[in-house]
Amino acid sequence: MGRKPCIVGASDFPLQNRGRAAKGNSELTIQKYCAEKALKQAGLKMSDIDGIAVAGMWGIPGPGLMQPNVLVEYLGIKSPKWLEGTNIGGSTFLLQVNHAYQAIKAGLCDTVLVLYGSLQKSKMSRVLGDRPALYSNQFEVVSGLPLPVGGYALAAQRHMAVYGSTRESLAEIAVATRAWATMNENAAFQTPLTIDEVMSSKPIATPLHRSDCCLITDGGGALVITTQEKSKDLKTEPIFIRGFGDSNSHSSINYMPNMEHLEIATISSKKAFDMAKLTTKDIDITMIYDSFTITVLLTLEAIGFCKIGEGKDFVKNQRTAPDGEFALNTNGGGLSYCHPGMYGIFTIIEATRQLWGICGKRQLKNPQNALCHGTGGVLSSSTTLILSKESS
Amino acid sequence: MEANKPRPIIDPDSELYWETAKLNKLMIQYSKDTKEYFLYSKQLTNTQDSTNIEWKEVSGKGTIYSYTVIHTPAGPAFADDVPYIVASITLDEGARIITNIKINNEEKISIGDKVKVFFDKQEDGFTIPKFILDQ
Repeated sequence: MGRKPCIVGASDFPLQNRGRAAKGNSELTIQKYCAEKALKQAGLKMSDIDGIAVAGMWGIPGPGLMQPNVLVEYLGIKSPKWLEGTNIGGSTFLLQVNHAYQAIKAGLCDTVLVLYGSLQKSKMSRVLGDRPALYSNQFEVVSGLPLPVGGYALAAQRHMAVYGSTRESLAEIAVATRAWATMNENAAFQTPLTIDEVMSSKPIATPLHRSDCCLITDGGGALVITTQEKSKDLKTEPIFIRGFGDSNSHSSINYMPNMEHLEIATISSKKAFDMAKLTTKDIDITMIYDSFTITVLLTLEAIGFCKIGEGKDFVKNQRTAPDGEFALNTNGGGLSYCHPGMYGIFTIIEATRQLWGICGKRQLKNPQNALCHGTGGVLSSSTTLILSKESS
Repeated sequence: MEANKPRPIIDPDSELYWETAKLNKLMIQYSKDTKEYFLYSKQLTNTQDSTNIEWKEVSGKGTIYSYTVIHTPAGPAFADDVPYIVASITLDEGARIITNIKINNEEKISIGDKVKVFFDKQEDGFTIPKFILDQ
């Protein structure tokens, strides 16, 4: 049995004007705001934190990728017992929660703060063609493949050719996700979207069009993770980390083993389900990193919510929309809520809030178990996390 | 615009590929242990010993594994080229390569189509292996 790590704080950052942070913010003020809000929720103080996990692209140029050092200094955390700064792209924060679980479980530390902040929209720092043709980017950049969208486009084209999914299948996902976003007052886009609008949006890299792509926004978030024992004195209900799994297969999209099957998500989710002793049938809310619509289709299949190649039928007729049978990306996702660059943390924040029952208009009826899944790079890294109101 | 296009930052593992391309040769790596051809940036697989890897010239023929037509260019250097095709091609020897496919106005492409290499040479001799349909 032993120590049971659980989430006791989860907050995101308020956005305005289609996904912008208010003027006068920095990536650090965003993270401080989220940290203080999450700690206050739980009834904790910064001095209770003895472990910190952080990642982001804001350190370059500047303090580099040594963000844990910057945040320890900025937040005045004295002698932290555990530090984490792994960066595997969009699935980073799910991996960091897994690592935090292991550290807390092993008694290396008691209470971990996970942090993210980004001003990529306000700073206009996200462009498609700024990468040097270095190392594994040598072929992609020289051929003019816009990254990461071009990599996902290759996978989408392949999936369509092998399994007969269509642009309409992908549009179903974009439209359903927007329908959820209409109930999230912090979402960048809150007006409903139609299949026709997705189909006629600007082509980016075929078969992906503008509405198949995640947003570019600012944003941030924080999670507080501690032990069940400590959670008994706190203001929030503990949300238990019941299962997790990771996998990774490539850096360049050319080395994705099969572009039509996200094998790493099959591997990571199986590990998570085995650890949690749960199955897909036990999941009440699913939060899948939707960097692109195709990411969602590939992930649903790979996790086993449907058979490989049958995602097109699974998402048909708005099945993942608010009135549908399958609750998916209830915050409006990276497609319609926010996408500050490394969206993974928001899958966990939303799942936690749904399990707490504080999601207002979009609140599901008494969900017990949540699955969060992050994908990083160009379908390169996968991390699955299963959260539950019940301890194991 | 060719002069403004990004060029590879050549490293010890990719130097031979780019140097032999200037001689109109497509050279990739071959593992004598696993009998597999492979391309940068992969260097090792679980079962191979790096001393048993050699460079071999390949046929330059292959099939389209996947492709995308780019309408929003990867930066201003590619703005005049849109729409252009980037593809993942499975060479007849088994390795996959990311490259451009050049087609004329009458041609259409699909996954599974046969393609063959051509060498797109710049004024200073720098050369990029690209592909055309092989019908």
